[in-house]
Amino acid sequence: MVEMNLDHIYKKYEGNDKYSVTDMNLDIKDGEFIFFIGPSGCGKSTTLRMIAGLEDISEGNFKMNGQIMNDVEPKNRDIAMVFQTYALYPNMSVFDNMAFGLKIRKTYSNAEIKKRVDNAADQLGLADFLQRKPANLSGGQRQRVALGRAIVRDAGTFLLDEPLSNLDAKLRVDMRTTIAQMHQRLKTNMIYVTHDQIEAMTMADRIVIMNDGKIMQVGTPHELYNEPINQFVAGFMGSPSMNFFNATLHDGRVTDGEGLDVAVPEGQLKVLKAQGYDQKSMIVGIRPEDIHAERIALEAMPDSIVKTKVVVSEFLGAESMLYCKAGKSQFTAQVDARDYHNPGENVEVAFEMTKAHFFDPETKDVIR
Amino acid sequence: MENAQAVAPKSANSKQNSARRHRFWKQFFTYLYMVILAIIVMYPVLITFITAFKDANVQAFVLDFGGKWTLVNFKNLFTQTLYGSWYLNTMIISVSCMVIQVIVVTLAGYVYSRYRFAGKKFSLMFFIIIQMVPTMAALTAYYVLANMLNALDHYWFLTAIYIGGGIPQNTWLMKGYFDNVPYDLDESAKLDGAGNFKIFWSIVLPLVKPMIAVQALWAFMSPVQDYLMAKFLLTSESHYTVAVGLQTFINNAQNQQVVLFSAGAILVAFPIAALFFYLQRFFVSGLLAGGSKG
Repeated sequence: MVEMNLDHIYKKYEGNDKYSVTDMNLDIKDGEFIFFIGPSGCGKSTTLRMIAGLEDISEGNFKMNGQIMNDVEPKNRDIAMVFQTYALYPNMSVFDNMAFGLKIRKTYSNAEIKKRVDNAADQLGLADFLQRKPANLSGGQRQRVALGRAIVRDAGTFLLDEPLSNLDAKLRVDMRTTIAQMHQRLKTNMIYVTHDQIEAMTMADRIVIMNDGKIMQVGTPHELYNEPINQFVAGFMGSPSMNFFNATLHDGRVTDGEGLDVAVPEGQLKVLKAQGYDQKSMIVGIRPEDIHAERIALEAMPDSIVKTKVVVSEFLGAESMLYCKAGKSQFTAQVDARDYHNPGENVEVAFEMTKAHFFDPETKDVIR
Repeated sequence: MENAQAVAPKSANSKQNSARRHRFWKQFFTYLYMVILAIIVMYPVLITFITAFKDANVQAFVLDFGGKWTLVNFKNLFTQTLYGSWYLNTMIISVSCMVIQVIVVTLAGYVYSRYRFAGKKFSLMFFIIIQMVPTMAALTAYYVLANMLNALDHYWFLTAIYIGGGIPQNTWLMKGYFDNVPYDLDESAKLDGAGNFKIFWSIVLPLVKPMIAVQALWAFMSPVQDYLMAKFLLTSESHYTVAVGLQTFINNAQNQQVVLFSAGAILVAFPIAALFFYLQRFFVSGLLAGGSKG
């Protein structure tokens, strides 16, 4: 049972004026698979390293099960970590790499160590490689050894720092399943840092989105995707990312002055008016998959049709990406493969405005 | 039509020929240069080697393959002179210097690479600056200091100078080599529960073996090759090192013992060569392979 609390955590590196992590507050429940995601430099790895004890905490308290752990050594925090660069000991075999942590503790017999290592190796398909040195392993095998090293420790918490970022696309998908199964089997806390939001969406119980050292939003993948609280979260989640327009609300329609002129559904219109945005400018966000090109959609949403010209188009097999221009706005539409259009063609698309999000142009917060 | 056919192959051929000729002359001059350098390097060694096997009455340092070859000079070295003591003295000093310098420099390099502490930048800069002063410039100071400490003719003072002289440059080299070992290996070991010394001994040290072997070789060789320091700081003949002792064979114009000098010089090469062959197994690359990505 491990419950973690990050209580007003700040981190400033020596010689820097800016804080790398600012006022981080988070509670992590037992057995949770939690993801820190965000762009490079947002402070997610720094936070993970503070939890591990590899970085000092400048201000604030980090608690595990109610005890303050700020000054506790990494080895006493009951934590196992998987590094982005694997960090395997090059002069030792796979077996010795995995057994190293156990041998140091001196509380395990050789037989017990062998049992644990063999067990972890079987789980990860490494049984045939135990006597090899890391130099003679492929990238995927090395990453599995790094995972195995964490498993044998039987720690209460697993920290994973972008473990899949050095693998090719197919291997990444395979390893995602392996890690997800690992979590289901071990039921320990797992804190996973990545810049790849697809990994987060597919594996997380909860996601913490960070930007510039601050938490933007915490929630389930569903919440973050469908109910982003600001423009950054809306634009970060989802691939391809959400389209944004600068528009003004007039007579129940949002328009950008040229090309874009769509009606706002009643429910959202009421909210916008109540928040005082009538006749004011705002940012309208709509996801590419909510822009439709098929006949049925155009007939069903006659108030939200935009006439546009295709600049670039990509055929992806099951669907097509149309990069379009309407007036001074550019946007991406994800349409069915049947609705593929060549670059230069004029096409009509319908915006499914019930799925649209509206953001304040200054604060970038969602209007609701 | 015939003309066209005749012209095309000819021009291609002559281009090939000129390229070949160009390559030939380039290689010829490269090898010529190397042969000349080899001769310049080998000539004195060859003379010394041959002279070591000659009978006593020879002209000094002439390349002369004729005459009898004999081992009597080697015998005389050990029976008629103090060469045996000199050899032993040199070995004692060299081995001590090697062991102590390697330990000090390796530990210092590790600390400079891995830790932050007050005075780190300053002392590293100081190491660089102090190398600009040649050891010879401090000769008088060393002599006076040795006198004050009653350390003239004692080995520990001389060895200390050799070790101290080797520390600045070699610490920098060792630090640089340690810097190549990725720090995430230390962090991983820390999380596994290893203490500072365990990380140093089990994880990082095995990865810097080539540099340690190089350090050992240099630290062993430098006392063997030093003449001036030993000449000034060792006063009794039985305490001389080989470098100083050999010089006494040829500095007396009336009684030059060139053959003894040559024989003594040849014998000095053996321990160094032996050490080099022993240490060769550590000169490997790719020790870090597989450990970290990127």
